[in-house]
Amino acid sequence: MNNEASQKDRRSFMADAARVSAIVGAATFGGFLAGRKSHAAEVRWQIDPDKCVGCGKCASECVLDESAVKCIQMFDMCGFCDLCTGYFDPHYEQPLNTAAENHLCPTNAVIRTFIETQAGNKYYEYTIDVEQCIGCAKCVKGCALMNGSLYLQVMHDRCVNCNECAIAVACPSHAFVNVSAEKPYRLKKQAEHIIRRKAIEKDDKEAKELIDRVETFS
Amino acid sequence: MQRDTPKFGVLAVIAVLAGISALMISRSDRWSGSSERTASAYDLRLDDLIEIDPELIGFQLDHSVNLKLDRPRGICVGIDDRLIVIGDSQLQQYDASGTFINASRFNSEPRAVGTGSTRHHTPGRMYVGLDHQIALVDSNGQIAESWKVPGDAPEITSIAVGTDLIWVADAANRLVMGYDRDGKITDRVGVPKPDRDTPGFVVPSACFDVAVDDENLLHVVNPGRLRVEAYSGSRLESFWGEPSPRIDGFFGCCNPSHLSMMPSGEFVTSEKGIPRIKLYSPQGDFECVVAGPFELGLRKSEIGDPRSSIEQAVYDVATDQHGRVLVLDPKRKRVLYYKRTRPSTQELNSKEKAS
Repeated sequence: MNNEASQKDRRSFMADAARVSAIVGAATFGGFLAGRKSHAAEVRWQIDPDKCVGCGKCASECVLDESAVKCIQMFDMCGFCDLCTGYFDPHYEQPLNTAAENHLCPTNAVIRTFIETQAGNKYYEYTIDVEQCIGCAKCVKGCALMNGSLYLQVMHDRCVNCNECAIAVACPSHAFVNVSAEKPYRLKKQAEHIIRRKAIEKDDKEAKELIDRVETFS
Repeated sequence: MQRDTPKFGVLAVIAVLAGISALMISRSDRWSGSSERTASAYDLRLDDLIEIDPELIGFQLDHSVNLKLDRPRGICVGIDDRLIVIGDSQLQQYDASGTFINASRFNSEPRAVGTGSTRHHTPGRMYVGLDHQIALVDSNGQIAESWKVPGDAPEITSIAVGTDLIWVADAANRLVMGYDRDGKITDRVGVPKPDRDTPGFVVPSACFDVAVDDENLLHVVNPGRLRVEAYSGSRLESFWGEPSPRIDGFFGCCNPSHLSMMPSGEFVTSEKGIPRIKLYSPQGDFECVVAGPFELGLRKSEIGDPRSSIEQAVYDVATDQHGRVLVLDPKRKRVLYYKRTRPSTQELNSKEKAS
């Protein structure tokens, strides 16, 4: 009787073990398939320039000693003025004096270069010295008074792509978004409109390439 | 005990000296100290430019008209002070009391509008600038015909209607074209002629306005040079205006963004960036402020805000027969009517002469 009961228990144990193994195996295979299918694309942090308020936190909140956020110049929107409100302190006087105290940028990162004289006006090109720029957005706010061609972007040759970006946490306007690692930069909507028009109406090759390289809205 | 006293004294002197040194360093280094002080280095200080001396304001809000449009773009005033507004692929007409009359629809977004006064060959006709054409709209809202606009991707920003000619400003090609009554271009203003001192226009953005006075003299904003130029045909006659953040000048890279003329010949200008509506004499001397940022309902924080939803408010202006200034507020989708609160310098001068 005892022997029979013991044999029955062994059979039942073996059956249970087989069932558990089958369930575990099926779950593992299912998990593997689900994992393969839902494999997320790699993402990067980026600033949506249409949401940025230029608060200055990008300069101080980044985990890097020198912020990975820098200003960029979108020449299709502007960039060739004589009197740039992203370069000069708004309390300028005529004649324009480019002495340090009249610079808006606290680190002298906006570079003013004479290009040509046209229609009786001097044209200067305004570019950003990336090494000097700290991403404070003072020039972004100054430029927003006029044509808004200066705006901030996370530079991906510097950004360490933290899982939780410290600037994104501090950003008051939720301007930090995740974008595809393949196209990690964004255009302002207005810039995209201008460049898209240039690409279509003027069949401009550079404009087409730029649209292909960046994350767009449409 | 006796040995420790001098040692303590030396330490005390060193500590005091170290304290004084630290204080001196922190006072001389403007970046040290509180984080507040460092943060203020990133602030854009505009307070004194935004706040306008009430003594300089010579107009007050009379009333406003709410528009049936989501994205109003431009205004002008027709015969009998009829209000004409463009936006949302439409042209809408309202009577002088603000009652909606009718709407004309287009296949694309209208960019500029102008209308003929009683001096025009077709009084009350409206001219609407579209992508590559000018649509001619009768006062009942019917589109009569359309003219082609030449040039590589034109950007029509303004239309002014004289007695015979219709002036169309194209910001992309930096030109003002004069059309005759048959739609033929007879004049081109802005083609550089250095030998005649007409170097052309500097147009850094899509703000490029024109107006015509009673004597058919064309007034063109040269925004990159921050001045208003007067042309007879394509010949430069005179100019006025200077770049300055002060209230009597034009601020920034490219202003004024809009221009209109009073029946008395004074100029009404609208600036972007720090929105200021101002009145200048027929000679171009600053007279008074019509409305500053606060009168237009703006908050301090909105000025210099780079968000696209906020930065793009540019206020078009027009005038009516009663000498009121109309301001299009695109954010709140309304037209603000401002009336004078004091006589103009011209009126004061003529009174003085009479007495």
